[in-house]
Amino acid sequence: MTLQAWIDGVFTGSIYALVALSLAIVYQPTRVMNFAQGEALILGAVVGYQVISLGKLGWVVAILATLALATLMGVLSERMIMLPVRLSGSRFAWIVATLAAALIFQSIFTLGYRDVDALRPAPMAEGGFTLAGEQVSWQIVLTVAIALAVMAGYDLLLRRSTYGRAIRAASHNPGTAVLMGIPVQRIIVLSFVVATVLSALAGLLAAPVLFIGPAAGLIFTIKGFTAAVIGGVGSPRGALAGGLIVGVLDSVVRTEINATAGNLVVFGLLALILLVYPSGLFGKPMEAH
Amino acid sequence: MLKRRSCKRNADWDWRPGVHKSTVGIVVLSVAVALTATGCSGKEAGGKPPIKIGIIGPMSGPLAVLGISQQNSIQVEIDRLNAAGGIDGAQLQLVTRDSGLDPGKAVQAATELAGDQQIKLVVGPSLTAFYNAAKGVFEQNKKINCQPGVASGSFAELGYGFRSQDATELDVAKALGYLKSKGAKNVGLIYEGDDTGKSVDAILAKEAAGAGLTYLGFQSTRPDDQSHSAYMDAFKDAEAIFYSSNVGGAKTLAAAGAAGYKGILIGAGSGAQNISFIEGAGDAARGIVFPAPNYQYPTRDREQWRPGYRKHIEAVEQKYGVNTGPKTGATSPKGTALAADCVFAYAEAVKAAGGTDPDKVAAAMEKLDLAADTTPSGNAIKPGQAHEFYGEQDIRLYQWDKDDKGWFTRELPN
Repeated sequence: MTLQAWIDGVFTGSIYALVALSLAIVYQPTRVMNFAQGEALILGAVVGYQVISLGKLGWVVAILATLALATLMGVLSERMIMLPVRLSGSRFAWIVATLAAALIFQSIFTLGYRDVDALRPAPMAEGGFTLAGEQVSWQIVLTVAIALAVMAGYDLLLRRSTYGRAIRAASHNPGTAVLMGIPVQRIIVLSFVVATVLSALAGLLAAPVLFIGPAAGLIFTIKGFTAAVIGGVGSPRGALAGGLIVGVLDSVVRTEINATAGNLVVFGLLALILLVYPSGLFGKPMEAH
Repeated sequence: MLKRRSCKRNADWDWRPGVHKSTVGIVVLSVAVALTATGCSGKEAGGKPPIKIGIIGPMSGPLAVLGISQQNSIQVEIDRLNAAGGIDGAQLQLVTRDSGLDPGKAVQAATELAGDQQIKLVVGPSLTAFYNAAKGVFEQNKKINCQPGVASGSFAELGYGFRSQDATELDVAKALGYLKSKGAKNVGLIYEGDDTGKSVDAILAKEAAGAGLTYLGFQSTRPDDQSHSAYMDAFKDAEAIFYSSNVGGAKTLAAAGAAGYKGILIGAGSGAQNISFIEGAGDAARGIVFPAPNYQYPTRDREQWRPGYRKHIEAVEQKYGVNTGPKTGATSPKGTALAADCVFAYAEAVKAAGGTDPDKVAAAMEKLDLAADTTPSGNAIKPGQAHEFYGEQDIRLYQWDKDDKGWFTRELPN
């Protein structure tokens, strides 16, 4: 078993964890699993490519542009998804609405960058170091560190802040939360914005290392979704654990056996965990429904 | 001729009593104009209906650049032939069908075009899986088919199908010869686990020893891999690594660059000529070697280009322009000369067959022997019974490099 496989697994796992956390942030107040979440990651990669690679404007501008555009995308996503869900009254409307949003964003990115196989900007931190004979780039270290910090910060926010209490109240019972004076609608919009910003930042940080194509959003959604379910939907700690499990397991099995076996083992584990822990490793039964 | 006579008879038409001559004249003139605008003008100068050429390829989606490039080159060749009087007295028309990335659409389009009697030649569908699903339709309908986008598999058993691309076997043989000349002792393969990847794996397992190389095995990749560093790690001590012709190849090159790999990186096919490789891999692509049929565009010195190739590429540039990598500035023409070879060879075969009968044209195509200086791609075309346009002598080795003027390739000596 090689160290390189573990390094790769931790890196991609931390990206999946951020997507899983984003899915959880939207899921908590809305009970909607946003299949368009991976498109926010592509937005981050697109901004990095456009601003850093083509515009030569540097990382500071890229981060600011990502924050601004992801906020806009978050508000837009909330309208595109929640409006049809509310108006249709169907319990399955969220599936169609989120998939439609995903395909719309994917088409926009593909149209804009159809000749680009990989949206790869230069890294924020050039170079790297050698660890037990394996090359580790600073960009990988930076991305993992930021992902861990974001997840820890959101966990604290959820448990210690007024906003966190409001989210938890809205996710327990939106009707009662409204009666208690909590602006549930505003919380929902804010959740979409925060989730989109986090995923977009993940895309921006990952793009210099990974090969992110303009049509790759759904792959990240599926991986993030798997991580969220394994860890327990709604739990930041679960998102982290799920992301790392998916990333490391896929990478190690892929290296030791073969590429197809990586997916087989990950999804086999997903089935097993759902059987033994229906709410995921860190999820509470209430949050899983 | 028959339609022309009927037009004349319409102009003489005046049998109604009591109708004013000038009114009749206006009506007759109107009818004549209408008829001329519809049926009569449907004839080309030679009096034959147009010969339609179909192309099936990805015109939308992530691989649209492939389909559109093929379409552009075919259109340029059609324009050239039409300006010279067409084929067999008929003008040529292009019919395009978009397969996107949906094999179902490719088969549907193949069925439609194969059943259309006015379509005499179908180019595509590109991509091995799509073609494998569609080729039976062409055979059943006796439709001449030319394939500039499928590298693996055999065309020898087909009656009407021809390949205008470098076969994987030829590319790998050329690459093994190069590795042998460089004294490499072992080689590994990193490729998608698709038909082409499996085909390259089988060829290497069989042929590597003959070139004095130990084959280290096949790291099969997935389309959803975001990095190839784990695969690279498996071959970090290999003296040479074959990389994929698809986007996965650029991932391998990037991973090799990140790992500081010092061995030889060589393409298992000609895909590395695409500037998307350079865009994806960046400086990690410097020094990589790939086999390909004639591709002189990035060699810069146009005076050295083969005459037919230069004429075709400059016509493509004039009509459609060039692709420019937004990151690297690397350029390529917005055309695929191998696709134009399909139309060029078909026209020559029709000339030799004396008509468009598919059996006679297929037989004539087998016997073609067209010099490299005359073809749009700059490769000799000699299909024979293998139905392969290009032979071993047409495969060259190129190496990407970069200087202060940007990216370029140099042709390596044979």
